[in-house]
Amino acid sequence: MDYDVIVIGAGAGGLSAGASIAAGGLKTLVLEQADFVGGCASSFDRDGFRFDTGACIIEMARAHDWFYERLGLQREDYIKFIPTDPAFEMIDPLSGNRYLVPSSIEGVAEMIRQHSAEDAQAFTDFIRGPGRMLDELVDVVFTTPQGRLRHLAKVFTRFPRLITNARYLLTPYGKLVNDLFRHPFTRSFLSYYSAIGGLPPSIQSAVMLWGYYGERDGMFYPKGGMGELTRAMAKALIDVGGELQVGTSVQRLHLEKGKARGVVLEDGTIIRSRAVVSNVNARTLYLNMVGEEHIPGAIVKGLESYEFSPACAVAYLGLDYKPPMKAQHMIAMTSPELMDKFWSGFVNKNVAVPQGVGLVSSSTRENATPAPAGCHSLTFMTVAPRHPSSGEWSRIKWDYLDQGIDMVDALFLPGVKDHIIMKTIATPEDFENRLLIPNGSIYAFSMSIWSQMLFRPSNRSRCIRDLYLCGASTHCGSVPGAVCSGMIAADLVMGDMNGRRKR
Amino acid sequence: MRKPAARLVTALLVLFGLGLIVMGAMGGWFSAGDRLYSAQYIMLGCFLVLAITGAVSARLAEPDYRKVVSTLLYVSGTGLFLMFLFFGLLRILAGDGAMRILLAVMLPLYGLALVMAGAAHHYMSQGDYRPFMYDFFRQLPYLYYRYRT
Repeated sequence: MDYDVIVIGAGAGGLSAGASIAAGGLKTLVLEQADFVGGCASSFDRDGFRFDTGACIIEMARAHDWFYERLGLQREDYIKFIPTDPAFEMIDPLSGNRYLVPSSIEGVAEMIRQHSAEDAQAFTDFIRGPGRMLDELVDVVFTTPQGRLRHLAKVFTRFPRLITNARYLLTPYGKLVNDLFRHPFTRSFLSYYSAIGGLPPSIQSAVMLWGYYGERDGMFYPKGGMGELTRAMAKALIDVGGELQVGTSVQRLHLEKGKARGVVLEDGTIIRSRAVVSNVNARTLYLNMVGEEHIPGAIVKGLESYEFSPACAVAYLGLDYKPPMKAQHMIAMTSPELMDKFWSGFVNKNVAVPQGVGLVSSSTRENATPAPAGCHSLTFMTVAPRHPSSGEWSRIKWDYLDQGIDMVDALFLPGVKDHIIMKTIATPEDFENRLLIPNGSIYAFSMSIWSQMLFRPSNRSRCIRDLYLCGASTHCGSVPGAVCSGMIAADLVMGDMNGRRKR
Repeated sequence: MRKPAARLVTALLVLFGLGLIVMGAMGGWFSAGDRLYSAQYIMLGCFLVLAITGAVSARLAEPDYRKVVSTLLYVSGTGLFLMFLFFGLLRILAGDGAMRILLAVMLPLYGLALVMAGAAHHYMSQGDYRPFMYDFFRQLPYLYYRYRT
């Protein structure tokens, strides 16, 4: 064998898996089709500006600390995190009022208290209600496999109080928000959190609100941009003895007697290994790189049944001034009902018109990323259809960008369009073609509870032996989710290999 | 649909369901001759009550729920009516032993289905839950296959 383990894809999940396995003493190779690492968590330079490709927030920073700790390294030696407090500047489009959203739970409760003491208490009670259980639960969900009934049983056995709170799994987010909170401000503010989960409040599960608890340590941004985060992970991979090859495209898996035994590159070269870890989308992996003929029909049916999470378009703007933002990120608030209407009126109908449901960011605000002297960068990420009803992206993307700029100018930063010195855009089609993200969906599959945990692809393949999966396909989206899924896959690989060696 | 009407339909579905389960479990409740006769006409009674209540409540339901509640009650009611016919046929064909087994199996199963229909109706009659439940039912056929992945 050429390697013990080959990892396909150098996104956050693949790098996490590769470095963790290499640190365990196995000969590991990580392959990446692009010329850079990071996938969605990467950056690119244009005209002296540095922009984040997709992800631009670090929450659950402790996941990154766990990653470096298990390699025997110190995170600070590789990447520095800049706290972003306040987390958001939030705009009420109806009144024009602006609010600063703190990055701590206590701070958020205090912000709500300015509008309604009753709501602030309800927020605190709901978040703290399950007590210290959530402290551990969020971490356990992120660090252990969740694809089997026995995994779920273990979670319920460890956290018996979950049973009394299980009703929230089957409660719609919008209903919970409307039942718990009375003040329109609180309802509108919390509606945004549903959109972050990629679903409207009427379909999102109420447990998404517990996700807020995952941010209890605050929110951060990596010094140098999101690309530095994954470049640092790649450096850690090399430092612990792993190998990395960028610009190397894997065509398919090399199978021997139903076992993953390496990969076949585009030029036909076979690289052999004892196991393969895939960080590519599970549907792409199984249906394109493995082939339906090697997979039971039930699994093919399951893979085909997954719905994609909403796709995104990102506008990248270079400005000749410092935009008047009071936080690195800006969002617009809206009520649960309006958020549902946005989903039914725009998202479900593939309407490509930029709306206020999105995230405006300026990473140069804290001097975290480079820009020409006196200039600043601005990105605007919005939900956008992969196949717009008004035509293909190649035809409409520049009009879409101009509409997006008009919208940012009208809603978030009046006058900003007079200061734009460069502009470009990445559409869902670009994400699909450049980063091989099917449908341009950054969360991979839907974030519905019917596509999570038990119903998400397993970290250890159930049909191909010695094949393991990580990334957004197996663990709900976000960078820490991907990093943790890589560590889970690494544990499974090493556990299986050590078990076999003992036998 | 207004809350009282929705609650009435839920209560009827659950009540009839529980009744059938109890009847099935107590196979020897009726004497041999009475057993079929009673089961048959209880089915007919339940069917008629559901049909009338369903017709009224479907008219009161919101537009996006009207078709669902109609279908739910139509299917439940038709099932009861078919069982009425089936038990009528059995009175001619089946012996007492076969009848005991049939009642013990069919009545609890159908009763359980009615209780589940009642639970589904309880949630779906509430506007806040409806999109969530529609989404669940849309995804339900695939959950097993997703678990297999």
